[in-house]
Amino acid sequence: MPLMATDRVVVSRRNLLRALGSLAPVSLFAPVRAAFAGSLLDLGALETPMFASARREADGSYAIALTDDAGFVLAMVPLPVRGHGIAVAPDRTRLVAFARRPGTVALVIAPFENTAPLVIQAAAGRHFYGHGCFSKDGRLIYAVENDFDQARGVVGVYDASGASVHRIGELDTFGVGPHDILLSPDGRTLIVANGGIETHPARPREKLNLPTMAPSIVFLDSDTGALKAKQVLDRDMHQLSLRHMAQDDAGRIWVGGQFEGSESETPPLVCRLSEQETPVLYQVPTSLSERLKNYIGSVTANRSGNVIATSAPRGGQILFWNAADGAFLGTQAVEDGCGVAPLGNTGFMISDGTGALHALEHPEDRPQVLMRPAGVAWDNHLFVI
Amino acid sequence: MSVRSFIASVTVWSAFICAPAAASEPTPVEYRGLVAHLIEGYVRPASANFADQAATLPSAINAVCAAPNDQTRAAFASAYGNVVDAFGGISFLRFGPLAEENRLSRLAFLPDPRGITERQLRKILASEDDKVTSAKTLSGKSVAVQGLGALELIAFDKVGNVTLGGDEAQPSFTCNYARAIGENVLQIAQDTKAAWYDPQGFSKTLLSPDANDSHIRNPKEALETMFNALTTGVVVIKDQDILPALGEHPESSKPHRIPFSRSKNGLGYLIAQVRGIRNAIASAGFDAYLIGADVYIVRGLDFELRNVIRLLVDIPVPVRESLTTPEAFGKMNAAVYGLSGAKSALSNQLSPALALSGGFNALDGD
Repeated sequence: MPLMATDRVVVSRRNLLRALGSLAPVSLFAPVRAAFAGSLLDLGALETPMFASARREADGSYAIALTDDAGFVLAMVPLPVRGHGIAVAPDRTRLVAFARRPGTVALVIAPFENTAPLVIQAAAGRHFYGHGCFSKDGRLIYAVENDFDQARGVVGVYDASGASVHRIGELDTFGVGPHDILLSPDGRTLIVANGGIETHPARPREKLNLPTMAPSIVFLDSDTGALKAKQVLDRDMHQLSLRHMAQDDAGRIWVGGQFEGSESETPPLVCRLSEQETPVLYQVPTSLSERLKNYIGSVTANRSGNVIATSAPRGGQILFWNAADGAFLGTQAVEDGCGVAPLGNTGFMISDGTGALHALEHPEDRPQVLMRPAGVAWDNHLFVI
Repeated sequence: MSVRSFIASVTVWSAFICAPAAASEPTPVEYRGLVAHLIEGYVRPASANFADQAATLPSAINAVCAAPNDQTRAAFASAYGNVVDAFGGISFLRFGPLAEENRLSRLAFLPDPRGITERQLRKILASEDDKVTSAKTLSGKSVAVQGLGALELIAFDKVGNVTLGGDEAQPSFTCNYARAIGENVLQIAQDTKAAWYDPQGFSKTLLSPDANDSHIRNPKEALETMFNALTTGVVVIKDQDILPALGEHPESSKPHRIPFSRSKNGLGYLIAQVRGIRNAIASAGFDAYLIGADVYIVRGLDFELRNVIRLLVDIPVPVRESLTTPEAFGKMNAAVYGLSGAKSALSNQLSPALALSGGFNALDGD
């Protein structure tokens, strides 16, 4: 049935799950050739805009979906657990899908090759936090992880240059609860958002240190692991967990957070900073701030880098900011809208938990629902390939 | 653990600050009971009604194609309108049988802001693709050309006149294609009905959830699945069906963006959806678990939905003509406000009163 499914659109879930059942740490299972009649996609697909996101299917299973800019699913890869972030290789031919925290599985997907996904399992004593990125040359994968017994954030470094993936070391994030990670355009500096919230897989999703949490954005030398800079908020904002980031056209980092203090407070949830500049917080109008329920889910820049979109899924709002001066540009309502990715030069693609993909040419336009497959729920983040 | 004790373990004792003294013992929310009411009181009858209406479509298509005249054209238009109405009564049930096998998209490829159905139809008509002339082969074609939207495009002109069986250049091919769509819609409708009535089917997943299932593990999650469909249904009517058509002013409205407006069934489809959601809420019997001030949540919600229906009923048919007038535009705008109120009552009041979870992306720390 074209448009919604094709014969080669799905990697065999049974084979994938069978392989996952016999995982060793940092292991690779033999490619399940029987699952493939060819690659998931032709390289020609790269000539049109493509997007990737984790999602929940109508039957409750989880997958990574690759779509075109009309919202049509081009390929699907099943996941054994709920997914979260996706790292896209610089040459756009490989993706790494990370399980939602405190997940222990990541999948390296090469949609243009006739190979099964490679499975990375978290090292002993570590779990993934849901995000990662590639090195500039595409040979390394950096994954944010929790050294949970030491309550210490680390970046796991994986060599993905060969036929298998090996963990070759880790870097300290100089903080707790690292979440999003970016590679600076210089190709050497890793930028990590330490959310500051301590968790332990023995008490899943419980927050263990809210009174003392200390979020930060750190700039790390990816070669040496040295701390180049650490930006923190003023003491009175220490309960704003800094979680998701995007880089604007001037190289500054925009951060969206979630506030862990009193629900009666409505502090700013978005800030801008750089390696040299301390954070500046930006607030929305009061009438809007009360509706956001103190939670920003995703942050992204448009392709031009001059407008930042931040999603607030609890409030059903997408907020837009002028990157140059931090001016609040306005908002668009999208129910449970969370994933945002650049579309064209000025627009955004938006995904939501009710199954819809929306296109927005300009921030002042009403988002247009492109597709809403029944029973599907798009996860928090949407990535452009 | 027995089913009974398991159900008991997942019931939630709601706390109500305004509980009257006589009702100091709040009734526990019995999720399985609410689910059963929804299935038996609304979902199954609505699915049966859709299948019944769909059963009239093939004969209406045959009649107008065999002898196109005012009577057969009117009968076809009536049958089509009834099917669209009945479809509006189930199209918000975006889970289970309608979510399986792309049934919902195959019945109606919505939304279609870029006119994909029309583009694909042009190719089909130009090439007289014989794969669309039998229901069996049509079901393997693009979802966009299998259902009620495609039938509307080949059977009605832009002002709602029936053209099927008429003077077009390829009446025979178009009629064969229309017959295949009619049979395909009927088959999907019958499959949907059968799936809902099958005691071992998705009803069982909802009524007797398996704790080891990855999807629906307990009665609370079963109710959340159904409840969230009601909420999403309101969002779809407002954000997907109406707002893209409404624009800023009457003169800039785009009423052709309202689904099924080509056949003059746009308002009927909107009303059918709102009525369906209202009736589904009534069938659940949420009131039984609300006391004190919370009792008014369901009453307020019902008032809001009833008001939306009244506003929509007051807009003259066809909406493609009326929406550009200030009166109709104002009523449609008011309906949007009413739907916003209903959405808020569902998500911000009724959902927490029943201790149901929020949106998929609203969890902490992600």
